[in-house]
Amino acid sequence: MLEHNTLVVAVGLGLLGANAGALGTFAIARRRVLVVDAMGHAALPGVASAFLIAPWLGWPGRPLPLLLAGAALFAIAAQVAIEFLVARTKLASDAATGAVLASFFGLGLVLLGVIQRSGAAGGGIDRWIFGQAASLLRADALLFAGLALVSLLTLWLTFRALLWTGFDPDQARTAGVSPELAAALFGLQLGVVTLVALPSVGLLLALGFLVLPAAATRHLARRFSTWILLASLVGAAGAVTGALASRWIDNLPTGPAIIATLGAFAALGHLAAPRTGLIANARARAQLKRRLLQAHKIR
Amino acid sequence: MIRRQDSATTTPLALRQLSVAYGAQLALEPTDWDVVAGARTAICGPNGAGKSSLLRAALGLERPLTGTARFFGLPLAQVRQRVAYVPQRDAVDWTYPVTALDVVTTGRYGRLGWFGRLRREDRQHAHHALDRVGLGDVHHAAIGELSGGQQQRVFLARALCSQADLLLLDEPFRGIDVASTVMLNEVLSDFVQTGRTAVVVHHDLESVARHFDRALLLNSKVLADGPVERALSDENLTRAFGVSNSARASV
Repeated sequence: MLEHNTLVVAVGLGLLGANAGALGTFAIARRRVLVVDAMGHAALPGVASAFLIAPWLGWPGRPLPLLLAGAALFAIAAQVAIEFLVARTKLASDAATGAVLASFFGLGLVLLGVIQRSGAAGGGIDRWIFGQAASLLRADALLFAGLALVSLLTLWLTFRALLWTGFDPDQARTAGVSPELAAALFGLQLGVVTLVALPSVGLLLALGFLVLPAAATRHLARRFSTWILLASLVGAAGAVTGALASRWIDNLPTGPAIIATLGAFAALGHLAAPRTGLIANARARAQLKRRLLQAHKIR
Repeated sequence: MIRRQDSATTTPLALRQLSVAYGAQLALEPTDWDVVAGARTAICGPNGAGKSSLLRAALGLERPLTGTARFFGLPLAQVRQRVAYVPQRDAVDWTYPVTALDVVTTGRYGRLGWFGRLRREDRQHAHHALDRVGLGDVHHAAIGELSGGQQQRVFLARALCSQADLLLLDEPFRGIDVASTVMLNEVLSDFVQTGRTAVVVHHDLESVARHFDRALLLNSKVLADGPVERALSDENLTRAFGVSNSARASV
């Protein structure tokens, strides 16, 4: 029998996992994966700055809303910087994203050093880097549940526009649906889910939370709706499994446990899936070759 | 469907002093052009002549440097459902997890807006359009698994499915096999029989001469516009391509 708090953590993370998994499909299809990574890394200097200025503002402790605001501010700044570089320089989007990601993360590590040297209670900032879902409270789980509900409803409403503008933006525009508006809506949704996930899975691994479930199931789905369904199931299952494992095994941090589980799902899915997996593929090919050899009496 | 009105409202597409530039590089000089209704018109010209730019600027996909485009006498925003655009094949992400039928169904999306739901009638139109281009039996195939010619036919089916009165196709014949070429020509021919209009960016001059009614010959500006045999006369082609008739024949 699970104790109450374990159940809360598992349900909360499961919902967040389903939510992130569903969004991950469009992140992959619309090639926003690196952007998610950049947002995660860019959040570090935001959190660190909030850490440093909290005492100045006279706030007691390190209030979560302030830290999230700092993270959001820097994540948006990183996005703007990437868009600017792509639009105004000769850098392609992967180079621009890499440059911005590295710069923001480097700044974050510098600020982290300042925090640790000043002895201003580095305690608590680690959770942003590696995640600390074990300390999830009932309120957090409720927040995740609410967010998942809003986010999945939004996805359902904007599904067609996202699908269409991602596939053929020009044709969508001539028919009157703005690809920019669709991209902005999706970017906002992606940003909110990433930020909310940060304290639980950590900024280094937020990317895996969003991308792995969708990557694990891509080859299983011919249609987008199937893909979303499978990715959210895998996201939920991976989050719950990882959360339970980290509760039962001492010193196993939750974020990495979840991501490692999702990574294993992805690897297993690609290897062992019936029909579409690598193993099934190799066997079908070998069978075909045997048949040809027999039929044509080739030696 | 088409009401008899003054020619401004029945001209499917009218350009007035439309010009396009990329940065400070002029791609299309200020151009006046009236598309003739009920005909197949090919846009021909050398690489970089501004053929795609003309279509894209008319549709607002590129910001025109000068000038305007009117569809059936109105700005595009007021007549979107009467116009269907098929972009070049490489403008699209073919790895997308969608089926042929999904793609054709997007032809109905313009009518539904952001939040409308597909009805049975929309699906029927999509199936019918796929049948029309000979792909009814692969409607469930992933779009990336189809051949280039089949993908182009799916795109044409999407345009048909939208029930537009004006089709604008950017190089639909490039790199497709004979079966798909025949099918595309046949469908376009039927399409204009009913008084509707097709404008096609096209590279194969011989095929244009056989299958199109009119041609617009471009090289950064309009060199000729009219019935196909007149617009694509030897003299005009030599002017457009800068290669003599005999040299072209040897290709």
